Amino acid sequence: MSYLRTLVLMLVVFVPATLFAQNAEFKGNITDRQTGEPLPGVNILLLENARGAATDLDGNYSLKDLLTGTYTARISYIGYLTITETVTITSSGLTKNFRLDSDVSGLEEVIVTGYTEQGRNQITGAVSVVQPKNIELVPVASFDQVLQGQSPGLYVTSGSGQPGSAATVRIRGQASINGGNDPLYIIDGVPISSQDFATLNANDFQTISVLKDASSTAEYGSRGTNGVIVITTKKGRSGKTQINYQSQFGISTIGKPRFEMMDTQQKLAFEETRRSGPGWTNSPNNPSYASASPEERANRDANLAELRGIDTDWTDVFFRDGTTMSHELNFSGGNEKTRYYVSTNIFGQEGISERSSLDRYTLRVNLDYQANDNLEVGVNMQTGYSESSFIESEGGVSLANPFAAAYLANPYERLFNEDGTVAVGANRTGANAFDRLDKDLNARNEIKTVGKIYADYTLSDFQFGASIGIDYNRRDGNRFISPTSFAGTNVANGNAGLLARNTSMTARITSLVNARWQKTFNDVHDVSVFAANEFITTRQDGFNYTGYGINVKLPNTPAGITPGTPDNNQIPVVGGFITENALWSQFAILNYSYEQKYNLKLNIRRDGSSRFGTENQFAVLWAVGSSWIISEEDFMADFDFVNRLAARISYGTTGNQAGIGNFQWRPTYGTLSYDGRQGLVPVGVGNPALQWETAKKFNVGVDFDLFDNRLFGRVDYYNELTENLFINQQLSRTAGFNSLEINAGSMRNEGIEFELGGDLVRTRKLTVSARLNVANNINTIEDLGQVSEFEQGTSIIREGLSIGSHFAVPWAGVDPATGRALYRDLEGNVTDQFSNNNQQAIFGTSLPPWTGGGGLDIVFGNLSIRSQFNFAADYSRFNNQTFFQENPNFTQFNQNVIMNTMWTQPGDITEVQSANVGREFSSKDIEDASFIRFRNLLVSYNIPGRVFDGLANIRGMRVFAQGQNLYTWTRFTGFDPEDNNNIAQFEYPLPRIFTFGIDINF
Amino acid sequence: MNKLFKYLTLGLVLMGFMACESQLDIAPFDIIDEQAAFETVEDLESGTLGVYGSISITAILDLNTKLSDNIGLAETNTGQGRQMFDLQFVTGTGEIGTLWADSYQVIDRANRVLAAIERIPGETAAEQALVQRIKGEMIAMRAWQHFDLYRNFVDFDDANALAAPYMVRSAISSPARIPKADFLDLLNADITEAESLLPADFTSQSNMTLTAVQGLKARVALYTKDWATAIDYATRVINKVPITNADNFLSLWNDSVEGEVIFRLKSLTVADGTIQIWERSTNVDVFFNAGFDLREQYDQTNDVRFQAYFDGILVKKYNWREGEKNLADTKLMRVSEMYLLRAEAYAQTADFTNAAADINALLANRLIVPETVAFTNQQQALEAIALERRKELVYEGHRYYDLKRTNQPLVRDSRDLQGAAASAIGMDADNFRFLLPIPQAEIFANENMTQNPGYN
Repeated sequence: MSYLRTLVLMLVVFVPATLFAQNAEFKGNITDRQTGEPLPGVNILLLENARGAATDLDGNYSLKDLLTGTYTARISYIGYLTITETVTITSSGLTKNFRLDSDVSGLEEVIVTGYTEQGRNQITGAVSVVQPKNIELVPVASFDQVLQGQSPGLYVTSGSGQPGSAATVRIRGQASINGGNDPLYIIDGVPISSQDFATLNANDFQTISVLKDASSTAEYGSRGTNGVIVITTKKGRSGKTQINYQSQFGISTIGKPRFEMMDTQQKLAFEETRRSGPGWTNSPNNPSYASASPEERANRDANLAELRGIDTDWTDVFFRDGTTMSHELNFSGGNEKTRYYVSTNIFGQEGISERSSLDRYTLRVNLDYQANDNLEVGVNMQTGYSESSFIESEGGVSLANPFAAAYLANPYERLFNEDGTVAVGANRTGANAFDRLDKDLNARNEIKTVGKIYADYTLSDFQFGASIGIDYNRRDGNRFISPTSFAGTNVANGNAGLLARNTSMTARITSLVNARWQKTFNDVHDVSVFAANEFITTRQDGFNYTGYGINVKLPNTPAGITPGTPDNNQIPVVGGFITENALWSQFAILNYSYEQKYNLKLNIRRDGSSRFGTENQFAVLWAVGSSWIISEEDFMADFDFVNRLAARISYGTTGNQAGIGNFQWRPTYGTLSYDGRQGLVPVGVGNPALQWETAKKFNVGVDFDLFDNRLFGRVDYYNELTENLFINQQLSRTAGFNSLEINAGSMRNEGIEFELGGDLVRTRKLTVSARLNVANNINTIEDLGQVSEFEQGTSIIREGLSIGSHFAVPWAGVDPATGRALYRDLEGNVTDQFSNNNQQAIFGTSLPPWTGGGGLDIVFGNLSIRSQFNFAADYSRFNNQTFFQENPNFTQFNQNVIMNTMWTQPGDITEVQSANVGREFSSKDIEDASFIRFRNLLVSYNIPGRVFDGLANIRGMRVFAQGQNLYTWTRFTGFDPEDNNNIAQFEYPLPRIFTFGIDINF
Repeated sequence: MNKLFKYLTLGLVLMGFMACESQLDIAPFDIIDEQAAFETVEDLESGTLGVYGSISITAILDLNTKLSDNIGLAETNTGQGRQMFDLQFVTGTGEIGTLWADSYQVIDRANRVLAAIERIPGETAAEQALVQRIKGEMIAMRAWQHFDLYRNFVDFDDANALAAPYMVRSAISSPARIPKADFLDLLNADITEAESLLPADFTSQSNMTLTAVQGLKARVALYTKDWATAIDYATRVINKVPITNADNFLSLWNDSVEGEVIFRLKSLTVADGTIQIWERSTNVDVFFNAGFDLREQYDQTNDVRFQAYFDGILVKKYNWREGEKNLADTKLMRVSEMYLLRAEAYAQTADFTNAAADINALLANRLIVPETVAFTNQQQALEAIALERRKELVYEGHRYYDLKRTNQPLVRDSRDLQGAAASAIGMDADNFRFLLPIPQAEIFANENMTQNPGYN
């Protein structure tokens, strides 16, 4: 009970002191400079006597019983620039109003750095903060996609325009070859999987920190190598209940392709030249025409005339303008003990292809309760449910993929027969694909819950915390091929469609206990220690079945499945899986700060993983970081224009265990079926020595904030070496296995990141601010262990080169004399002989070394405009689509109009070789994929609350219009230069989205 | 305060140890740890099913189809199998790598079962007999796969040629190629041991049986020109297995009768794999047609094989089951092969009467109106037998090997080459491509491996 005694003693000491105070009062009102709205909860502190207060709901503050005199008042509020002002309080008191500017630099005073938060001046690592206001309202379901161009070194590619598709996110390049490269995502302390952001509502996000270097990621140990994205969600604030409603509606449209396909006349003429297809078989120039009977000739003429009369625009058949709608309602508020934030969101988006959509419903409750002076408990809980419908064969080189069929289907092909049925049949492209899209289904429902319950107990300098978090995800896939569709009649088992359903769930339980000790000695030494024990277990299981012989009257239900018999070959297929892994860790973080000027951060973490054998089950990873706040030095006092200048340096190690199997270290047996019985076969060769990939990361950086915060930015240099890469060591096949997963080799990522922002104009009415970030990353494979290279088709992994390097035979044009395709051999000589032995790695990489983004924001009174660009440069991608669209061997498909320039006679100068010469994969298909994309434009107008004069308690309203993916500057001729792989293969392109909406505060 | 602090510290420590090291010891769920794989005789049986189930149902068929004069390039082929068909295959060609790796995978799996047998002798007499049979099956299977390696990668004529490594135990190693004579000694030793272990009353067509091992021995003898052994062992098989007659011949191909098959790989459902060498089942894209010259060799009305094997220009042989496209058991050995094999051995030993008798016995079961042949000289006999062999065993994994072992060139009909590369025209008998290359992946991973001539 000694602490109670201390408390009483303190009260006894303080109470008399107030008795000597004068009766002067310091009061006033604090508002937002832009909106004029009162700001509740703002801290006002007099530095001389440490007296402080917070504003009430109406933005009023009051400090009573003050001694008269001159004080330094510091007014601080999260998200706003701190004001320090000298005030003189006389015996009659002082009434003073303050107007706060929102912190446009986005450099929050307190930054979430993972398990802990740090003051801006204590950060030692490379941490960048993505401002929620820069990404709010973007009508894209998957939050990761919205991060494009928001932070240097954070490269996000969407890969698909299917609503809700997860993006591929890389922080500071690719650190692993065979292992995982996705960053770790943490929401409110709960690690979540990276693939299902579509079922989370990003409007709930309050802060987003991107952790890049060792000092900031080492606390995540064996999961830190690929960087960490730490998200916290909104919390309620004490005060009156705030209600916010947002809604937007809009449409998605497909962009214009950068290539042109033939129309009917062109295609039939081309077929004539190619002597193939109906354009030739029905042609009067066909030698057989002369010898044909008059009836046969008339028949051919009629066929040709009929074909000429058809000109189906297949893009019209498959593509559409999709709609988007979103409603969001949230409530927040609380009192001194309880704070809450609850929200709900309904989001519906149709894709630009038929049968492509997402509908999502989310709920969130964040609740914090101060049980007593020591104990705080709370819960963060979100549940989402989404329904997705997908196209056929998304991203596949397949005629069922509408994005392939729309361009490869012949324009003289009909969609409908005269009787109104779809004109399906063998060798039809467009109608078959439409039939599949129209009658079949490929859908997925998903439930995702992310929740955490926590308790924090504070005891003088100590704080003890415990939490349990759950990331639960369940997916129900539904694949239906209708017995009435052409594809259904070709299902091998029973020729009457199929129904395939699968269910899978992932449950990740994270339990954490921690202790924190924080103390300031002699006013100058700030020390804090955070120690924790964490246990994370991830369990997954799944079940699936496929049934055949679907009853036409019972489509898309298990009831329609024909029971299997030994003879009907319609026995349903069942399957499933169960797997689990666990990670057990202890870690500590020490922060030391001297006068808020010199900072040191030490991290150490010991991880034990169930994925590794006893030989290497545990890893110890660590980091050291320090920073120097130069602007706090006395010698900087003369440099008035420098608001803040800091230098940071860090070094440490992180690990990666993603991308290998849960039981890969063990030698294992599995089953296979023979003669209707289960056989036993070895499935895993096992490697008890398997261990983590380890990255050694060095980072040095400078932060600056100049001219009254008008120009701010940061520069970072980093050098990261991943060692013990997961490599498939090839085995002699006499072993019965192809390869063994081992740790070997190393890869380096080295780069510079640069971020700059500032207000170009800052007046009372008008603010124009700009931001730009640029990153250059050079990836080099240093060592591959057993070998010096691996070929991977059109790309190669080779020591000394960047990962993603293209590997192709150099194209040297078309010989005007012979029409033969010309290539270069290894010596650089031109040859008309194609040989894969002449493949060379001189065509750059599919991973852009230069990436970045930026934007220009204008606020003029109540009108504000936000724009966002992003770019990637100096990289190239293989355009596989040209192989199908520009290939004389594929005359059964429609062709690019470029084929009209095909070499036909000596002297033709062209890039398209003679039809008699094979079409090979060569550097001709590698195209510069550099691009700049006008990612987003948001125009909004704030209608101040006073206009409504208390109507429906409206405190403010914003109306807005925005466009997403407005324009792309590129030389790439595929659908989209930006993609998550090295090759363009009819992937679902990103849509252009236009929306209008309102945002009302009550 | 101290008390509270103590409790909290205690709590922290407790929670820390709650999640202790043992919780990191998670055993797999869907797969079996190696130590627990083979524990009972039933497990050994499962192991044998694993071995049979690992055999590629198409690899040998595919090779002997694409490197033959029995198919023609179809207009709708957009590159499928072209490296092989165009006779441009190289060390990196996928089909070659599959032939090598699949054989060694089956061998490794058989060796693992054999190693487990040492630990599990069986308790009852019935169990012990079963274990002996399993041992016989596995040794026979090991011999079978090594013989496939021999046929693919070893020079038949050069007595000093290097064979492949002969694996008698499961190991991760880098073995070198061994002399051909040593390889054949090991192969024959395995066959002899299997013969002694397999009981005569075990006759399942989907397993290795005594009859199948004897058939294998006859085959090996034919390839190594040991005519006496070939005749001896073919006779043993022929005496046990009746040939299927013309009336039932179609039923043999829709798998409704077991008939004259000696060893087959069972394919019950699509999941067991379909035979898609000539076309793609899902979209009915034809890659290869039946060859013009081949079809012209048959008496199209009198020979039941013409109807069983072809549908117009398309290959029909493995596409007879109702509603199950390209799903069929792979027949790895039939008794008709034994008649042809024995006829050839007789012809080689100038016994033309017996040679003709074997051919006539076959024709009596293939022709609706029987016809007979008679041989007067060796060349005539061998040519007639080779043609009959081509007609009977087409698409069953023999043609390329038959050309190779009889030193015949591959000559293709120009009508089968529409759209093919110039190199597809054929190969002289001494072309280096009659010996397949050791796959690039093996050369790459195994420093002791040496390449066959012509591929460096």
